[in-house]
Amino acid sequence: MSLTFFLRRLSFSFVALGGLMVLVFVLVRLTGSPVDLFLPLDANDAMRRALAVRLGLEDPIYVQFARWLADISRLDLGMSLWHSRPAADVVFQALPQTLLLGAVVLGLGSLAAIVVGALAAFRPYGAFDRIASAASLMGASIPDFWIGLMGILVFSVSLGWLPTSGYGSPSYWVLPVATLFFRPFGVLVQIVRGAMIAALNAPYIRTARAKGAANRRVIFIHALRNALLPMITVAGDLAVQLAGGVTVIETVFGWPGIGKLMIDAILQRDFAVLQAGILAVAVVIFAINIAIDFAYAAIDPRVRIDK
Amino acid sequence: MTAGIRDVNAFDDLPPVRPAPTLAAMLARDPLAVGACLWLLVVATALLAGQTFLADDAVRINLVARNLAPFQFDANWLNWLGTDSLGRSLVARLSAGAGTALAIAFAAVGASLILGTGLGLVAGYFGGFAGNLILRIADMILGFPTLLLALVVLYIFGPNIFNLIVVLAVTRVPAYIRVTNAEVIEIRERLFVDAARALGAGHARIVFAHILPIVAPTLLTLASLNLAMVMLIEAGLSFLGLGIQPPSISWGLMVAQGRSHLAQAWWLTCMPGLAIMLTTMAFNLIANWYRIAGDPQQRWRLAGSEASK
Repeated sequence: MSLTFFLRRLSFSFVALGGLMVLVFVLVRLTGSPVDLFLPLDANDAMRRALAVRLGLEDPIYVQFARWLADISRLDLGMSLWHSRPAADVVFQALPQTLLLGAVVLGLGSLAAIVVGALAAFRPYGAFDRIASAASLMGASIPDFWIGLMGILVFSVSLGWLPTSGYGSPSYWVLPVATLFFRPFGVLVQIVRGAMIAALNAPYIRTARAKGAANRRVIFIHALRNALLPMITVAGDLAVQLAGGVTVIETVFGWPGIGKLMIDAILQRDFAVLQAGILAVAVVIFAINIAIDFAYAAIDPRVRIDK
Repeated sequence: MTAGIRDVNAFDDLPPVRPAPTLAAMLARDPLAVGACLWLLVVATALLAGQTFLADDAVRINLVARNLAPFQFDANWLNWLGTDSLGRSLVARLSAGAGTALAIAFAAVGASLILGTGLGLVAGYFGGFAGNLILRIADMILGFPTLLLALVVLYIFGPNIFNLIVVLAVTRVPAYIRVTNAEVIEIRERLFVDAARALGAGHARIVFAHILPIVAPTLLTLASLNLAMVMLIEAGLSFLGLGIQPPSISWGLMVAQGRSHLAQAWWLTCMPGLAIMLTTMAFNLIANWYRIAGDPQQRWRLAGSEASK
């Protein structure tokens, strides 16, 4: 991974980020004025005018955009109209909950997928493989919000073991994590299984076996390392989707993360929070992509060669 | 070199080539795929019924029969899966929802399949600046969470079926572009393409008669997987209130509407979710089966017992 290659990726990502922000700025302002949302229906024109001026909505759109760009360069993302606090604060308060939840889910899902996928690949089309394949397919097909509601129904409403929603002690984590676990697990098992079958048929595995390496060593050291590459790509895609806030699940479980924050911002026409949220998500995704590149280089020596 | 010559002689020892098994025969060898097809048949029947003689029952309010529990088979068959808080038949409402779910899924996937394949062919076959631009835009769309993108767009342009289909199609297009592009770049260099060119075939003929048929099975597998994915996203959006709007009926919306009655009437949430899961699973299973059936190297797994030797 040469420096120029890296810089090119970096600059491309920045351009994409900038394009996205312009798009969001324009689109969000097309939806209508927040003035109508905040003032009572019988507010007179003078009051509407006053609020619009106070919020800077009377200025031409390019002035608003320039002001907004200048603010961004100072990391000032504007005031949230709904929370009456800086939007950056609101977003940074919500972001850790989402990232933590995503990391736990993806970590558990990857670990389980590696074990199950590797075992399934050991005897393709054997009994374990068939069960694992069916289970992973089911995992990838379940609507997450539905399984979440069913979990609430069984474990919270009927049995009373777990809280229905909220954020706090470990018991609040069980249902959201379990609910979100299915899809990454289901998707990753299929990937690991396929890659492991291919890897186990490769000549270098035959060599390792011929040299007398133990079965366990062949599977988990020789084959797995190569099978991890496609898994990292897919796990990266999953991480991107999770970073966007698992909006639906956060809504179901009242999880104070960025997904719920953004859907609330959309419903409340809270421009500043929505923009700050999208910017934060875009930066996180940007970081994830760089992390994936590094992971590639760490696992596959071929990637480290200068291009 | 010697190995190559030996290989040529080795053909004499090979058993006579068996005809490739028919699709129906290969389907019969995979019980899960058969089950998936049967379920889709049930859904298709429900869809037709929901559009015709059940259409009125889906919205008929009957306060006497409200929140009836499911599986009481001595009652009216329309209430076998229970009724909602206004006494509307869940059988009829699920059938009506099948129409919405499948119409949106097929429209969005069809549109993205055609558009994505077209753009991917251009990018892969001609390359150049336009090809690069197409790929970069595809990367940009892929690099952003689908659901979030759909949320923002649907809120801005309004949640209606047309916008829903457009936004779902747009978020799926990049996958087809990437896959088509990658395959075309490889196929473009093969000998039979050179042969076609040497015989005077034009670009259009090379692309549509020689390259597209080879890419098609991969794209159809992807389309089947995407049917499942689009159904899940549509259900999620409808659940959040940014997809299908009441009084229209969709499975995702039904789950959302049942949520407030979760403790009293679990079936209002459970049944539509089950319908979503079984249908997405059916599409995934068929994609899985087709991936094997369409691959000459793996097809033997689905061949009859004597042919599999």
